[in-house]
Formats: sequence, structure tokens, C-alpha cells
Amino acid sequence: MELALELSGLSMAFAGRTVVHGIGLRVPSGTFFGLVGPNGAGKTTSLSMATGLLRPDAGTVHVFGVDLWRDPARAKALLGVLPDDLALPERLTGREVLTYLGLLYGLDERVVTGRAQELLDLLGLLEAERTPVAGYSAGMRKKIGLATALLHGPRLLVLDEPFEAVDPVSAATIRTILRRFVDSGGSVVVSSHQMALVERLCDHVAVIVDGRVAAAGPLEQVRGAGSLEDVFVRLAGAGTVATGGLSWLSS
Amino acid sequence: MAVVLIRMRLALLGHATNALLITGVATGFLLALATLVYGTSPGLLTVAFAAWAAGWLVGPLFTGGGDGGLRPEYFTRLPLTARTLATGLLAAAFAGPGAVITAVAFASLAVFGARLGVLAGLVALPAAVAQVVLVVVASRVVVGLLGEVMRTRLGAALVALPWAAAIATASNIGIVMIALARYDLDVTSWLLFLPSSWGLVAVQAAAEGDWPLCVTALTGLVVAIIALLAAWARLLDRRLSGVLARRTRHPAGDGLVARHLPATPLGSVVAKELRDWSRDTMRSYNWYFAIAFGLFMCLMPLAVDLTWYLPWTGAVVTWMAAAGGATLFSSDGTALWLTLMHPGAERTDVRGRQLAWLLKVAPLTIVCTVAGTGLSGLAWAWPGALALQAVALGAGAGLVVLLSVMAPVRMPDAHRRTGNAAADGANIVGLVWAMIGLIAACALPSAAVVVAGYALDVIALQWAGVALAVATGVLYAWLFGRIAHRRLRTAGPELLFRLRTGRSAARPRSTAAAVAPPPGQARRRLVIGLCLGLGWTPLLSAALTLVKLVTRAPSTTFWTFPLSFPPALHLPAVLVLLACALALYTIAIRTLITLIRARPR
Repeated sequence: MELALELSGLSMAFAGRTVVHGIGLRVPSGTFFGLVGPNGAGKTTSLSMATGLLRPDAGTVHVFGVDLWRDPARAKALLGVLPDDLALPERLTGREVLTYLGLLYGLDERVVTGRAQELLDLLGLLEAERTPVAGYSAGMRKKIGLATALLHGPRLLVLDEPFEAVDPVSAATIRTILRRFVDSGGSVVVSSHQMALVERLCDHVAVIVDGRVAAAGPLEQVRGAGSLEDVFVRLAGAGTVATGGLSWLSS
Repeated sequence: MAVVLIRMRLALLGHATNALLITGVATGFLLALATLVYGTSPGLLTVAFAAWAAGWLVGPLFTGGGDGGLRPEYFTRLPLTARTLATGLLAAAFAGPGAVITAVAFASLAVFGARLGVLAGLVALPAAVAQVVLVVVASRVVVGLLGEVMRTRLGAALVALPWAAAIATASNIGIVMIALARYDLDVTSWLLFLPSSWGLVAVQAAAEGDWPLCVTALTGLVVAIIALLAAWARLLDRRLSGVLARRTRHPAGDGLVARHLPATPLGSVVAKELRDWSRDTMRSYNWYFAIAFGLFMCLMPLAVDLTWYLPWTGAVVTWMAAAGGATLFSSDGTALWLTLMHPGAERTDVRGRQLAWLLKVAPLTIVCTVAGTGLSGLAWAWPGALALQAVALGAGAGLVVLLSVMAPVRMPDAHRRTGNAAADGANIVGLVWAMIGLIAACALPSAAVVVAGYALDVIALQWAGVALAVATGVLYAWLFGRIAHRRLRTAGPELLFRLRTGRSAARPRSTAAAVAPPPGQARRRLVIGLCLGLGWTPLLSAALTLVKLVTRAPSTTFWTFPLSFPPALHLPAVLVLLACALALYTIAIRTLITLIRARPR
């Protein structure tokens, strides 16, 4: 079985506090992989390290067998990334951003023009044709970010919270795009807080708690008889789900 | 409310200890003490007070808004009226080093008043307080107004004009003095009409028993403060209710160049940069500031019939444009990740930015140099002006990328900005000075050859200097760009981390050492920094005084102020200064030892 993404022993400490403790994950090629975990569990940090945006203190990342931190050029060519909350060239319009990036990738001008048009059309960004990215709403930012990840035709997509703040119609479009991508042999890693969505889309999941992998594997295996949410709550916050309300709001 | 905000501000201050802050505070205290010691005549005081007020008006744009990190946006959700919030934020504005330093400076008014008599002293106290309040509130209002004006490119250009004029005047003070003497203008009597002198007017009037004038001046101060407060509350309200956040939907035109660039990786970077230069109001501001500063600086001397400055106009504009570009990468914020995702694109990114900067700066500045030198009629100036222009362009193109990669400054990402350069910018004073100094250093070799040519009167040598300037300019642009893109390739993630969090990515390699920092670390570092920053001043003063004592030379500077005491006190004063220095250094070293001991092994 070929692995699209393999993380082993990834560790990271900020200001003396370890936030990721030697995470190891194996994402088989052709899978739709969901990453879930409570706030602050280290999902974004792990994905940043897995995509070459944050240098890990220890551990390795392999993208289709290529060591990302040793041979970034080959590994990153296979990768499409949507990071959480990073800026884009904010003064450019959506089309200008895609054209700029496409040309930077070394794509042919006609190819870039065609792909940009198709992406803007599909993601419903054509109405904002003259708005610079800085003026986009949160959902539109996600969509243009996704477009930048898809532009160069990667084999593996790593998307941090791609559905956050996106409206239902656009979410459905994104789901379809990703589904088709996986069906045609691509691999996707998404992080999300929406358990139902992860259950519907993903065939593999991993639950990260406190910077460690609490459970990982095929969806059926991880959730067992219950729902993913049950597993999540059991692993992440056994007994911490509040049963009482706030004293000053419930009287 | 006010107490909470003050505590918040002090907490933020405790977290933000850096060398720049400490140097700034130390320098500020020295200036304040100088005002206190030397401000004995009304003439000096009016000038000093006007200078302090000007500092408060001009300063925020370069030091990140001067709100000490308390952004009004933090408080939008609280059920407060704009007026309450304005009052609270104002109170917090006083809980910072700037206000304390200024209070020390304006205390000279109280000292001055006390010398004139009891009544004048009594008037001077509230007057001094009112003056401090006035400058602080005025500074806040200016920041608010900037936000109003700087939403468009035109606004950015308009704002750049007064700032450039003020700073060009300040850095050209000699010419101003000559002009004043020539046209026989008495500045101090003019300055008395400025609100910064009204306190002084009141005190002097009280001393002379001119009570109507005294009351008028004091009332004027109070009215000015109230009016400014009201204006600030209004501006704050507009800023918080989102009026300013509305953006123009149409990005400005691309310009001819951006549209006709080749569809290559390099071309696309240049196009992106050129669009940024015309669409980003912060960049527009920096560019227009550079132009205005250069023009003011070099045209002002014409008022006293001096044409010597004209040939250097282009070089000065280039210099300032480079200083404004010192945050080229930082101002794009975390968008750096896109470059990092394309290994190999680092080089294209750096070279494209350099090329775009040159395309933006070179045409206008070269015209300025040629026209300025031609119009000045100073034929001898040609080699010097051309050499300086060439080397400034080359070194500038190299240093804008090098400095911004080597010294990243965290700024709010563009979509989180308020559109207000003063509120959004980081403190870049250090970077600007570094840029100015570095270009000067880069210009030294060719300048030396040209000067040697002038000194020996060898025209060939002068033009050899120009050739050397062109050659070194190309070398600087190539070499610094190369260092920058190599750095970007090897330390890209660290740079991104810095831009994302504002923290350095340097971390312990082993997880064993990764434990929480000991409590009180920030406070101890502040103590060490303050003591080391201030300790040298009494030491130097004591040393200089001793030298003067031994050589029996009269005291001429502030540094030897103990000599203005009665002779019997000279030596004791020196001893006290030495003891002060010793105490400060002892505290610093002891705290450092405690800090090292507290550090986990």
C-alpha cells in the first residue's frame, strides 16, 4: 500500500511547552482522511509541520515516499495546501492571485487563465471579480485559499478546516470537488470540528488529543458501534462535558 | 474602567521588553532631563515645549500608533459609550513611559514658575499638567485623523506631506536657523501663540500680575483639551462602528508596466509587487513620504539661496524609499507561505521584488538627480550626484529584501488592518535608521573615490568614482538579493513563524529542556534592561565632570551639570553620580545572576 502522507515522531515545543508529542500518522494513497481533535490539541501545528510551513523539533514527513524536509522541491510539488488563517496577496483580486501563483509555479499562461476561470466559476467567486482578497468574507477567503491549493494539480491535498465559515451551497460544491478528486486517485487530509461531515466524507480518521494520536485508522474501526462524536467525547473529554448551565444565565 | 485599562496597559508593557524600547526610554529620559535642567528661560521653554508637542504628533506613525497595544477594537463588545471608552483609553495612555517622560519634561514649567514666585508657581502646576494632557490627547486625535484620511492613495499622499515637511525641517535645522536669522524672524514670539506655549504664557502672566491674560491662557488650554477629547471620542466611534473598515471595491489601476509584463514567474512577481505598490495605502504612504521628504529637504535651502542641496534630491528620495521598503516582506505578512510552498520560488520572489522596487523608484529619482544637478548650475556636482544616485539605487534594491528578510517585523495581516498606518504599523524606527546607515556604509567606497577626485582635482578620478558606484551598486543588488533568497530557502519556516506570532522561532532542540519559563522572568529582564540602559548615563556624566574639574575647563554641556553647583558640591555630586551608576550596574548584574540561576538546567 502506497502512503500519500506519512508522519513519524513529529514533535514541537513553543516557548518551552511541548504541544505536539511525537505524532505518527499514515495516510494511505487514495483515501479521504479526517483529522479531528479538541481546540488546542495540535491539529494546525501538526498540519503546518506536515506541509513544510513549520520546522518540527523532531520527526519526519514523507509525501508519497519523498522526505518533505530533505527534498522539499519534489515533495511540495505533489502537495496542495490550505493553511488555517494565513494571508494571501491581499491587494490582488481573486483572479490576479490565481494568475500570479500559476505563473509562479511555472504553468503556461493559457493553462493558468483556463484553470483560474474554472475555479472562480465553480467556487462562485466570479461576482467578486473586482474585490481585492482583503475585502473577502471569511467563507470567500476559504474558497480562494482552496482554489490556490488546487491550481497546480497536486496529488495530495492537506486542508485545515476547509468547511469553516463556508455556506451550505459552497460546502456542497467543495465536497463534490474533493470527492471527485479522491475518486480519481487523489488523496485528501482535512481537519474539521464537524463530526457528521467527517463521518460522511472520510474513510480514514485520526483523533488527536493533547498533541498525541488517541486513535487512528479506518472510520469503521475507530468509531466501532457508536458515532464518531461519541468516540471523540470519550477520548477527548471524558467526563468534562458540562451538564449544568452557567449560574448567572440559568436563573 | 480607567483603572482596568491602566492595569491592562501595564501588563502589556511588562510583556513587551526589547532593546529598542529600552534605548528609546533612556533617550527620552535624557531629553526630558535636559529640558528640566536647561529650561530656565521662556524662549528656550517655548521651543522645547513645541518640540515635545511635535514629537507626540509625529511619533505615532513610526512607533505603531502609540496606543501601547491597547487597540480600541478590543473593547467594541463592551457596553460603553465612545466617550467613556475615550476617557478610559486616555487614562491608559498616561500609564506608559512616553507620558511619564513628557511629564518630567513639562515639570520644567513648574520649576520655572516656582522661580518667578509663589503665585506663578501655583499657576504653573495645573498648567504643566494641562500641557501634558494636551499633547497626549492631541497625539491620539492625530492617529484617529490618519485613519480617516489614509483610506485612499490620495489620502496617503496628503498625509505624507506634513510629516515629510516636519521631519525634513527637523533634520535640516541649520538651514532653518539661517533662514530665520536672514529674514529676521523671532520664532519664540510666534511659538507663544501655539497651544504648547499657553501654559508658559499663563505662568509669565501670573508672575507679572496680568491676571486676565493668565486666566485666558489657562481657559484656552482647558477648552483645547475638551475639544480634542470630543474629537477623539467622535473619531473613536467612527473607527469602532466600522465606518472606516468599508473598503473601496475597485482596486486602483495597474499602470502601464504591470499590464505589459511577460507571463513568466519573474514577471508575475513584478506585476504583483507593482500592484501592491499602487494599491496598498501603507506602501503608497512610504513612497510619497520619500518623495516629499527629498523635495523638502533639498528645495528648502533655496529659501536662503543655497543650491548645494539640489543635486542630491534623487539620492535622498532613493534613500528614503529604501527606508520605507525595509519591511517589504513583513508588510505582506503570512502570505509568505505561498512562496514557501514552491521551493525554488524564493529566488524569483526576491528578484521580482527587487526589480519592482527599482521600476518604482529608479525613473523618478534619476530624473530628480539629473534635473536637480542641471538646475543647480553646479557643474562640479555631476560625478558626486550620479555616483550617489547609482549606489543608493543598487544598495537600496539589495537592502530592501535583505533587511526585511533578516529582521522581520510582525504586522497585522492586510485583511485585519484598520487602514490606519499609524495604528497598523509596527515600530520600525530601528529598521529605518539601520537602512539609512547601511546605505551610507555601502556608498562609502565610491564616495571616497569621488571625494579624493575632488580633493586632488582629478576629473578622471571623479568619474572613476561614478563607474565604481555603478559597479558596486550592481554588486550590492545582486549579492544582498542572493543572501536574502538563500536565507528564505534555509530559514523560510522560521521567518513565517516570526511573522505569524511575532516570536523568534529559536527553541531548545531537545524536549527535555522544554519547560515553562520561571515566573518573574519578564519583570527581571525589564529590570536588567532598564539598569543597563540607564547605568551608563551617570557614569559618563561623572567621568566628563571629573575631566573638566581636572582641566579646570568651564561646563559647556548638560553632561557636566555638577559644575553648575557651588564648588564645594562638585566632588560630592560626582561621587553621587558614580554611586548611582554603580548601584544600577549592581542591580543589573544581581538580577542577571538570579535570572540565570532560576533557569532550569
